[in-house]
Amino acid sequence: MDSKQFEEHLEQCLQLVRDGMSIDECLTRYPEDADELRAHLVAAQALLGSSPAIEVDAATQQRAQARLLGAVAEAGAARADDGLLLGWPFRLAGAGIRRAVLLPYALPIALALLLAFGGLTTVAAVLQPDVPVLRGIFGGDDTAPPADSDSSDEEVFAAATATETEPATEAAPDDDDAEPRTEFDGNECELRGPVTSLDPLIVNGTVIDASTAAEVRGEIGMGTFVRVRGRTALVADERICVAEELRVEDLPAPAQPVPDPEPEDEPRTEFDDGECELRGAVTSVDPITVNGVAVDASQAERIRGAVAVGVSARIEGVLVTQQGVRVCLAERIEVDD
Amino acid sequence: MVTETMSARTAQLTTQELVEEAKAFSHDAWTRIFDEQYTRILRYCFLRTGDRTAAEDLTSDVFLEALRGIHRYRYRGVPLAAWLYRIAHNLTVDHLKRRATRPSVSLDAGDGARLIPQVDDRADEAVLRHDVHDALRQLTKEQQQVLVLRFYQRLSHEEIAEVMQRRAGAVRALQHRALKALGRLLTPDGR
Repeated sequence: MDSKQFEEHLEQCLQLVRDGMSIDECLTRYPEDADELRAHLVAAQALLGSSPAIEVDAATQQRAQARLLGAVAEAGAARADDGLLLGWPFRLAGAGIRRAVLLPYALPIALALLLAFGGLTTVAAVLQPDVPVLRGIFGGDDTAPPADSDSSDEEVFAAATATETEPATEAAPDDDDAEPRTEFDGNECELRGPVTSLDPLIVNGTVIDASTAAEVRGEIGMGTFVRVRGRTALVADERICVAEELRVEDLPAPAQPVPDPEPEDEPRTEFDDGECELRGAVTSVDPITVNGVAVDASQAERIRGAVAVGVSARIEGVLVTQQGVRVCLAERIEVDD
Repeated sequence: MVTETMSARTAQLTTQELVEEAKAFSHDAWTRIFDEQYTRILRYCFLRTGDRTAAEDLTSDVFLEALRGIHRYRYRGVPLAAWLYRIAHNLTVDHLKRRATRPSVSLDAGDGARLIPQVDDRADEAVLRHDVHDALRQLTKEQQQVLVLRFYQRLSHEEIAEVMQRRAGAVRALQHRALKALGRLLTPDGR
């Protein structure tokens, strides 16, 4: 039983429990994982049974709706006013002429007139009609209220770099996220960690091609903690990450594991809530080292496969400090086939 | 009781069409969005803040923020609710910072909150609820968030990924660890 299969069984049982099946009944389907599944399912069932309800106050809801619809009406009216600036050629043309015929001429004419009468400010307003319209309604500038700039446990990730689908305020991941992370999902890659080489650029042992990045924020130097998002590519049989976005994070870099020079498939190093999960090539057996992290297998409940240098392994356990060194005290070790 | 109603046509729109109409500031489109999402967003804000009044204010702000940002929104097959949750998340983060309080999931009935007992809410269920909420608060904020979104808000992994700006696979792994940690806290011997 590998962990991926376990997660599939867990998801199936979670769904069945949500649908009303008893835990015991579901566990009979997966006897090999029953013990571990049970612990997860008990927690899930407890959650499902403890969902708090909140009473909706009708008057408050009504006020909120009125507030929203009032703003919608104002925004619609303001946009209609703006539309007058560019709509006149169509109205002059009358119903017999298709708009498509006039469209190529309408914009240049309108812009020329606006330049003559309104100046650059007016042009900018026309080119981005939403901005002044909404600014007028909501007041202030177009950016959403920023999160506080202090860097407590949750901070602004980068409102300025929000994608088109994101709301304007972006919160940073929790402090837990400050740990190095390497994730490959299909042809996407996402890494967080310190820069260990500048030429080539390497983060968590993965070569980063930043030459075509649409966005590079911050000054990158050795040891700088960065976040990279992009696409994977194979270069000379080595998987690299072609960055679309590369951002320096203002995070104190914790003691970083030495990244693998040549990561295996799906290398991953995650520390969360005192737990450790590693997936990567074993680079040493005495002590066992994966992704640069020392692994103590002395108390492992389960070791599947032979641990040897070069094999790919997955380790789950508890993070401890031994003689000042961060060590993953393994509960489970699985060597990939 | 909400008095505003939408047309039958608007009720039939696909999400993509609804988004387009919302971008055109359609009264009916925004009425539908509000009606469909108000309660769940309110519930989320309440779970995050534990303050009913603040949750109501934040929920109202979420929709105004959505109106403000709708021109940037691109529908990619993920339910609109995920985007609204993301806005709600950001606004509650801002709110909690201003309030300078730590808990990201507040499930107490204090601070003006009114948790409604179920009709058949027995004493043992109340104890269970208290224990679970107490255990939840001991998890990391990301773990709390994934469990709240998954089990209280019933979002899919893909929707949660959209809210948390993580990959769905990472969300699954996070949920796995969160459940494991919660199970350990709920087990009498702590194992």
